[in-house]
Amino acid sequence: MHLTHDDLVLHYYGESAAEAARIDAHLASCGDCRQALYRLQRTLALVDTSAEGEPAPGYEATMWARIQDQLDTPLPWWRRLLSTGTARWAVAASTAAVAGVAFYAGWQARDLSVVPASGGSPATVASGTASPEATRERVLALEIGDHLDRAQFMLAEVANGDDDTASLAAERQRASDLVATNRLVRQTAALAGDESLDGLLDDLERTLVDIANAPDDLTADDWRALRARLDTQGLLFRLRVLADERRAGQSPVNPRPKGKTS
Amino acid sequence: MPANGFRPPPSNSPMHESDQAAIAAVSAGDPHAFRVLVDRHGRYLHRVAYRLTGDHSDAEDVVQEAFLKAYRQLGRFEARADLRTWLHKIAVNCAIDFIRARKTRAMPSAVEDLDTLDGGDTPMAQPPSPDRQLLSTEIGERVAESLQRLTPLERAAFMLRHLEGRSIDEIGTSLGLRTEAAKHSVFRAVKKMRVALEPLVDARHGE
Ligand SMILES: [Zn+2]
Repeated sequence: MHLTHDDLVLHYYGESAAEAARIDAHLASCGDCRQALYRLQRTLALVDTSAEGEPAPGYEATMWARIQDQLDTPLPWWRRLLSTGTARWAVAASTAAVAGVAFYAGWQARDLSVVPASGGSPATVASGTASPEATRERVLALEIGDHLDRAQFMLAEVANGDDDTASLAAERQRASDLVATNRLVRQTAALAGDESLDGLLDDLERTLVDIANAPDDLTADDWRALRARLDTQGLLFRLRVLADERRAGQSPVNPRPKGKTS
Repeated sequence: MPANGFRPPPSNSPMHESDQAAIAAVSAGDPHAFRVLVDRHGRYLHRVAYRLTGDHSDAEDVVQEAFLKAYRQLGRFEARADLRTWLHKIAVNCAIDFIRARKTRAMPSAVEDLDTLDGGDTPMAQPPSPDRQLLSTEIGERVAESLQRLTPLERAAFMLRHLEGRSIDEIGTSLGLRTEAAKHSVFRAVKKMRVALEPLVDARHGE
């Protein structure tokens, strides 16, 4: 039987894997299939000559006009991904639903020293004159930001570390701690109906679980592969964008508009 | 693997002086210096984004996003790396995010259907006539037309495989597809390209 279209495509891209021996053997003995492969190669080479995609004259000026105003006030990207999420966040935060309460309680029991300065002192926030709802929202915002910061720092260390698996034990413990918080944050995100953030947290959780559950005898190759996945998913990148935005004063949770009551 | 102008340059190529100067100026607090990078790399990134999205307006959104991300991440760019390679990577990631979002919004069930389809059942335009000599620009246009006939998902999967050199596994992960679905998207895309372009290959070959 001759090679199929799928066989030839996989062979062309070097992805025939388990089928490689069969395909190679057949090509060695069949002129028709060699000819078919040759035609495929020439056809796909034509794709590279495509003239498509060239933007119109003046493109650079247009693009500059689109981004110029956003350079001084950075980070609308994540805001747009969240789209209508901010309103739902505010609702979720102020309804004191199960996840939010649990989350808040968890926060109170935690070490406060890592809360970033941009959010003001947590002690001030907690004992200030703001309404309980506003305080809770603020706390929630700080907590989410704090969690994302921690996750980002941890993943950055994993991604930028060397191939030596010696650092694994420490990272495993950190990952394990982060998984627990991540689940609470995720519940809150899900409650707020924020699918974009929920998706990011979902990806994050899977990666954290992988790290937390990494076996003692993990090989250097496995370790490298795990770290490479961070890159593939763009996870670290996405976390950084979010953390940067929060540092710029745009927390994932917007304060509720003035005058609105829950 | 054929050579083409869309892959980024080797990562050890020296960074252009104006890029270096612009990065230094931006880092020193002058956001307007960033324009140099837009001028130098904007068109290139647009072609990269267009090839993945198949739409100029979408590609503009992706490039805008990519530049904004690059701006925010500029402090993390390592001077010894090649800026265009770095920007290329950011643009591809932005395009993938964009395509994923589009997929979720617009075609919730299309992915699942791929396994049951066997290609060839999508209406094809008439194969180009081989009985005339085609200049290379005409071939380029013909290729562009053929690419326009791919579905957005086929295009994205095919381009990630063909131009970006991503493995089918990686493509599945990036686009949120099962590996089999990613594979079928690539198969179907290549099949469409063969139907449209093999007559050209034969015509050129026979001259
Ligand atoms: Zn054969």
